[in-house]
Amino acid sequence: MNLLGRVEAVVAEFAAAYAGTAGAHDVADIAARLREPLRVAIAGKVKAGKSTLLNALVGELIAPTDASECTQIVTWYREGLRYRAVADMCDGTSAELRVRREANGVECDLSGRRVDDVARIVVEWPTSALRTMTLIDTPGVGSLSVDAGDRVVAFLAPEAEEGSPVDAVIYLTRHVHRADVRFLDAFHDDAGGRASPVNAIGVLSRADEIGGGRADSLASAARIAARTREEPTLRRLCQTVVPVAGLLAQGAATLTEAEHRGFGLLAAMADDDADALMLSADRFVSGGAHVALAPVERVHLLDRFGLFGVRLACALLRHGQAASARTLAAELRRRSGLDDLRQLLATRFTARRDVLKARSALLALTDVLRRYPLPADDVAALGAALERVHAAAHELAELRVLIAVRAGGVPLDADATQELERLLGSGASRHERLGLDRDDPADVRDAILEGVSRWRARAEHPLAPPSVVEASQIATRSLEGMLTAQPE
Amino acid sequence: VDETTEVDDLLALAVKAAHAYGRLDLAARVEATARRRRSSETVVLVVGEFKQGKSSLVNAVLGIDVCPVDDDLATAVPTAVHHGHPPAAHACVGDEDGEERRVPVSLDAIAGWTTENGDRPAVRRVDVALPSPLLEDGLVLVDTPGAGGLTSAHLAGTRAALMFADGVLFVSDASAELTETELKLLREAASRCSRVALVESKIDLHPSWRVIAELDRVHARAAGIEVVVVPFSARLRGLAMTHDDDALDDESGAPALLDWLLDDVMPATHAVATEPAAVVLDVVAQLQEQFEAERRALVDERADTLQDVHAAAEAAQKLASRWPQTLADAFADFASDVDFDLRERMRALASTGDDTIDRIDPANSWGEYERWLYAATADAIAEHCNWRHERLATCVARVAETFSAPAAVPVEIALGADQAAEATGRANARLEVRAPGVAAQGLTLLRSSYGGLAMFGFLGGLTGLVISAPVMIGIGLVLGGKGVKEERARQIAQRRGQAKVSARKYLDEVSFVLSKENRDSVRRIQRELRDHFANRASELQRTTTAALAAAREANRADAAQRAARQADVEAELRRIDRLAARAEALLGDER
Repeated sequence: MNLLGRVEAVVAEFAAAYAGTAGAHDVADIAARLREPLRVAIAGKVKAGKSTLLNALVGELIAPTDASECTQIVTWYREGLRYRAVADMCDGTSAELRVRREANGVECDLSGRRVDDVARIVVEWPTSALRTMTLIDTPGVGSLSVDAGDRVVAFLAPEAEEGSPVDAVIYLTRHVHRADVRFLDAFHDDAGGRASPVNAIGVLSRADEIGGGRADSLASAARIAARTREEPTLRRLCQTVVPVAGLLAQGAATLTEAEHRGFGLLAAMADDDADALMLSADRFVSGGAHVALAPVERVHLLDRFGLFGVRLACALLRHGQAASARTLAAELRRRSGLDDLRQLLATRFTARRDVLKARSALLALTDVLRRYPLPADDVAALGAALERVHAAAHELAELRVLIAVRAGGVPLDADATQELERLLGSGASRHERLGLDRDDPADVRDAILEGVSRWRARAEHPLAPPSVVEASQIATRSLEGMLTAQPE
Repeated sequence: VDETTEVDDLLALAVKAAHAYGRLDLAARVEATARRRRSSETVVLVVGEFKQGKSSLVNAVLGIDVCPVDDDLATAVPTAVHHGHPPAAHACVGDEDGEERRVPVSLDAIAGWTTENGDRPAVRRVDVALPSPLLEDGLVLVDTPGAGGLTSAHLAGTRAALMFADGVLFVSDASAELTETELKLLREAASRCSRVALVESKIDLHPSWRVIAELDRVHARAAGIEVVVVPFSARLRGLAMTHDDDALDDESGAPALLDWLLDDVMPATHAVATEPAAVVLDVVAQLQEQFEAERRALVDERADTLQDVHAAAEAAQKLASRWPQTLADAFADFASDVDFDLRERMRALASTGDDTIDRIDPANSWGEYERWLYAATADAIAEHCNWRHERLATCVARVAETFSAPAAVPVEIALGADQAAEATGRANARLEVRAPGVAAQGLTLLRSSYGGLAMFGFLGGLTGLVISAPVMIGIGLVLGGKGVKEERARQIAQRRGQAKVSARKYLDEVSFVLSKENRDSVRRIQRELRDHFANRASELQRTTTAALAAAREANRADAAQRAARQADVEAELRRIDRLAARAEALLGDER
């Protein structure tokens, strides 16, 4: 039986034990969740570009965006048969909302309900983009007025491993300085639930604005993301950090033929005229009476792509790199970092969805056991069942070791740490986990055998601390597992 | 601006008068005041969060790339740009003994000293001199490190320096509204400095900057802050300067920004007439005393008039001799109060820190705790510095009061209790004027040696201090199982103990550096004030001696000579009175 099957069996045990009690509802939720797509929350500070990124990932303008603070309610976007939105109220009731599709997203009519009373809105949307993961848009946290001392405590509440409504988190932040005290806060958001480095990815958003929107802003952003990635404090929070120019990504994902034509008209202008027009946002809108594109069209392009996006699109057209709307969209998407992010989500989240979901479910079950009292015998039995799954699931052990490694709790040298992280955490193909360039069966086999002996030696070293011994044993087992799974 | 010329005229006139009456010592004092006034610097701090374009703003305003700008590296050391020729840069570096050295830096190499990767923890400040016409009248632009980095003691310096700043440019880019933290810092700036402008930067890039600027204005008003909002684009300003394009310059917002600096901030500092007017009044009072004594002797032939003046001079000497004791006492009190305040704050911090550690597991949250400790320490230091400054002001006032009262006594005694009420009234008014006059001067002295830029300097001495990470013992990988529980509890307790030790050690070092700085500055300020008051004392001595001599002379003269001299003296007194009236008018305006 695979991991998910074993977890389902435990959930069934729980369901039987809790039948007819207060906890039954929670257990049913956990069971349902195992069959759902992976839940990924997009979290971050106010104005980080969460809704914009969500739209880019879906490829449609569904989450509303605006210049001022916009998203106020946690909103789930999941695949459905038809467009509909349901508000779950704080008092436990639900109500279907009227949905209006506006130019900048889906407007849900609360019909007089107070924002504070709505726990969440669930929007169902018929799109294949939401088939593998349900995306959750969260309101940004901007209030940093809380006393610093309280924040420390709240941030690192003793129960770091409690049940969370989401399986994975994308943390969005604008360029935050490493010396900033709020550096970590910027990646962290209570509304998104707690995450650990195994199920979180950091995104350096609004990458096009770095360096004042210069032509090489994105290259700069990539450099900054690379540096941020190595930050020890950040390593314990998320797997990696990638730059994404959200507005550009959203524009690219939803580019229309008319917009492509608009860029075409701008690109056809003389270089000097075009430069003068694109000097500033104000000039772009109001300048140049002889510009072929009407001012209202220019306002539209500026809103949709930003000044950086407009400049980039025109440059691409001028250099013949974007003859059709499709090629322009593809190029913009690639440069925006959206393709890389999608790839990352596929390997880090989608490919490991069973493990992530199993982990969420087990954490939630532990939580249920703690919150809803049962007779002592039942508690012992269910606890043992949980323990059994934990013990048998090598994937979970891998996650556990990975978390400890990234938190700096396993004293290994830098090379060994890197090797371990790659082996346990990259979630990609075998050769990548082994650090090989290509998937050559003979090389892979050699690397595995060599790795096994190395990690076994580490595990058996008489002076090795317990954490290193366990990590080495897990690594050995992972390698052995790869060996048996290898097609000869 | 009219007031500025009036002050200049008045000072010139006072110098002339002092020269005419042979009081070169008084003339020298007025000249020194005039000199200080001319060279007085208008310090404008450029503050804001990281990466909002503070350095770019300074560069764009000056039209020269002096502050390093980088996409990622941020400014870590304050850079003060003032007028000077030839262009030069110096890094103020603290050595092991806490003394400050000035190291010449090439203008192209400033980046290595001011950005965070410079790896020179002891750099306190970089001073740049530029022959820019904008800076000619004493404007000093200070580029400060981003405010988010509370870990750096420089932020404490920035916050303390706010109090001495003549103007603050608060920079926030137009990509988003003000955040809570920005608003907090803005509020602090506005409460410490009366001239604050909110600069909406990068308006070339953000189409909705007008919306954002309006939102910010609303936010600021809601927070009870009245600020000028200035939209600005460093990039457009740079291009406008390169291509000499006036229209583009207007669009960049630079003219409005310069207007604010030159018309709102600069005149405000230059028009501060308190000190010059007080000095003139003090000088005038001494001249008056001299002539008044002579006039009394001329009008009244009785010999005991001379005796009165004589007695007054002696009394003045006796009373004036009290000031060194008062100064010593006041500074002893000051030093011990400052020390107590520092200890008290550090103790409170340590105890809050311990409470926090008891609620967390340092193995998970040391980093977060460390950041909190840095921030809280910076807060405490800034508060301490502000408190220290206020305490010092009362200390100076105390000495000035003791000092000035006897100085005015001779006039009263000379006139006698039953003399014209009008004259007594004038003398009393003079008495009131003098105490704040002497104190104002004392405080001005302090400002130059203690406030503003100097504040950046000494706090820089703290930047080298870091919290040493506690040794974290075994974070067990075994998360399940029951037997491990007790062991875990024991480990947590041990980790907490070590975390507390690390925190205490850091706070001890901070206390050590600060208390050394406190002792040094108390000694330095005491010396400066001692010189200041000693000069005042010798002036007064000369005044009473001169008054005595004039009175003796008058006593010896015959009737005809007396009549002639009396007319002269009365004419002189009228002239001096006119001068006094002008100075009093200025002082009245200031109040």
